[in-house]
Amino acid sequence: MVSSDFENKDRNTEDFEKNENPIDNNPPIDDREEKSDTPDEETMFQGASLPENTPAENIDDDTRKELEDLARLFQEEYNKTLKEAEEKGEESEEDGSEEETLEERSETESVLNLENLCASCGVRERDLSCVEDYEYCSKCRNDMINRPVPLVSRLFKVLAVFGAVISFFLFVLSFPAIEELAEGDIAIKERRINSAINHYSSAINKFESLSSDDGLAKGYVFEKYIPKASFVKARLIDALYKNGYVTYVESYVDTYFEDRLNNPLLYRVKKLNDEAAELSQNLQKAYDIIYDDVSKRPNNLPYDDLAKKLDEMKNTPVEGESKKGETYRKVASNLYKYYIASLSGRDFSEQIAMLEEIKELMPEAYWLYGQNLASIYAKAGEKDKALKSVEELKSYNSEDPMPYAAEAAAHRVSKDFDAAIAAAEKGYNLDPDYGYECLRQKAIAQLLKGQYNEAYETMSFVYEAFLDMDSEDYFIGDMGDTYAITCLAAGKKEEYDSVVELFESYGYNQRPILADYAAGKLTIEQIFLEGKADVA
Amino acid sequence: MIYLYAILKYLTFPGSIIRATIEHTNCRKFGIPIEDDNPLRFDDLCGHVEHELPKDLTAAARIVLRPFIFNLVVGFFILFYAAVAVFMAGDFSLVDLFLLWLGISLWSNVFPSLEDGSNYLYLARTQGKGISKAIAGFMRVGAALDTWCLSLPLALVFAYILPIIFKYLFVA
Repeated sequence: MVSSDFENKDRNTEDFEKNENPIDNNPPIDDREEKSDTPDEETMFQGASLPENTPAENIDDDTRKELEDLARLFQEEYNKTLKEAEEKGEESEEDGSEEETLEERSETESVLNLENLCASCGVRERDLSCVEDYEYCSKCRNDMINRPVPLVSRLFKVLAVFGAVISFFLFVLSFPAIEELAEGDIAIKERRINSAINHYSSAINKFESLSSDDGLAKGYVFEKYIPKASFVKARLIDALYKNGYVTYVESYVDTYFEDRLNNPLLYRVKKLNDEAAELSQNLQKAYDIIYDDVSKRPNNLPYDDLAKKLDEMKNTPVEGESKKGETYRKVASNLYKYYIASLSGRDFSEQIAMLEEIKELMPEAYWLYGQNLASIYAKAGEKDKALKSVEELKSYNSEDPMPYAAEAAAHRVSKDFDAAIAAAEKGYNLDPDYGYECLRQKAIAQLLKGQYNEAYETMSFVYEAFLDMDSEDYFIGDMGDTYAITCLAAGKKEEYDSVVELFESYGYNQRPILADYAAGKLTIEQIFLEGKADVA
Repeated sequence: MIYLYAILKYLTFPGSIIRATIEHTNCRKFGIPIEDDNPLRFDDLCGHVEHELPKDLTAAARIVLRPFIFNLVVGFFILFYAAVAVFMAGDFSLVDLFLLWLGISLWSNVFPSLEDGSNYLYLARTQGKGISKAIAGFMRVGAALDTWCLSLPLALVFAYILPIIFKYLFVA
């Protein structure tokens, strides 16, 4: 039961007696708290009345009424004030716990609000002065700005610079080899096959000297599988193959790559090696068919028998041969059939047909048919075809002097001797080591021009060169016969006897054409402008 | 795609780390806070450091261009020898192969992250001049190629072409 202070029986009524104004007689708050239970706030002053034991003689009716009015007024004011306080959130709780100030509560709330904390440390508030929604506090921001570069990262940077220095050093050391290699590549591009072969050979030597014991040790841990400078070696072999050095291909592959051809990186080398081996095999097989007769009776060959055997070879497939092998078999057969046809003095048209078939079968193998085809066209008087073939040959290898010899022959047969001499000189100057056929063509043109001494000088130079090279045996044949004719034409009897001695020392049977010229049965014009249009 | 991207960055980790190191150094220099400096993380920022985007064109340019120039130049010096030795001469020594890998790893990490590239392009377009815009555009394209995992194949292609360029520039 809630009772008002005014109804409290313990209330000391003497206060009222002492104070006439009842308002001033309200007890102090502290006293009230000590002496009464907590009243209901809404009804604290409702029903307020004088205590029952208040002496009646002290309070009259008017006073009682006045006091009740005052109590009601107090209650109204109290309720009003309480309501306002609640609305403003300023009402303090009367549960006896420690009161918190508004400021403290605000701080607590902000600390508990995680969204306002630094995303890195999670302790301090974000530094919103940077950006509106910045995630980090100012301390973490400073830490992030001054974050040190990890030592490992610095080491990697040093490693890269060190690698660059090492590379530069290796590049300088390797430059001569790299330069040779690059020049070889450029030579291949420009169809200077001879130069390319020389550059590649030189590059290989230089690369190998770099990695030798007294050179730069570079740790060839993979040499078991792939040799040093393997691509340069592959290029050299490719160049040799393209230039017709088929037998060299096999020996170089054996020297450089041995049993490492199964490495996929060396696929090209293996392919070339296989092709070269198959072609060599077929060429050897065809040569074996004619060898005995050619070596024993070159001037009296059983052409029909040999041609039949070669045709058999051409038309008989070999078990297990590849598609290319079939082509090589036909090419080899035709090539040696042409050879015996040439030795037997068969018609030019027949020889041309054989060579053209080779060209059709293997156009890239210009070294098999090109020179012979151009020469036969020239000797046959088909100057245009001869010059066209010459141009084709030059496009395969611009450093080969042999096409110029064919060009000189074509001009000579058409009686344009000056053009013949010019072409021959150009060819010789292109490659003096292998241009002696050009000089022979020049000497023939000089003979036809009536310049016998000049022709002799030209062939004498060739003879001396062969002697210097200890290659007299290679001089015997077309070269020797032409030299002998120039000796006779220039009246050099001693020199003529000397060369005939050479022929005899090698068991070479003098060609009838030379004896006929010596006997005056043939003229230079007849030898070099008619019939075979040459000594052979 | 992120897996492939991160794997390529791991395969070329010397270049990734060096690129991030230079990026890191330049961020420090220009007072750009670095949030994460681990370049070998398995996300789209693999090979880069995670940092706030600069608002100044100079800072953005240097953060993008300095790693580019360093990796390009140092990689060039390395590959100039290594690519010739391996691709042209077929010299497969351990040293040559290591240098080739190092050079390619540098070249495959020349471009900035997509965020850096875009920010640089934005700043160049708003604050820069013609050449700056062109460079920023190039960097942005490079960043896109890097994101599409094309930087390693491109580095390989250029390393392969390098000896050919050398051949015709210095020998022919």
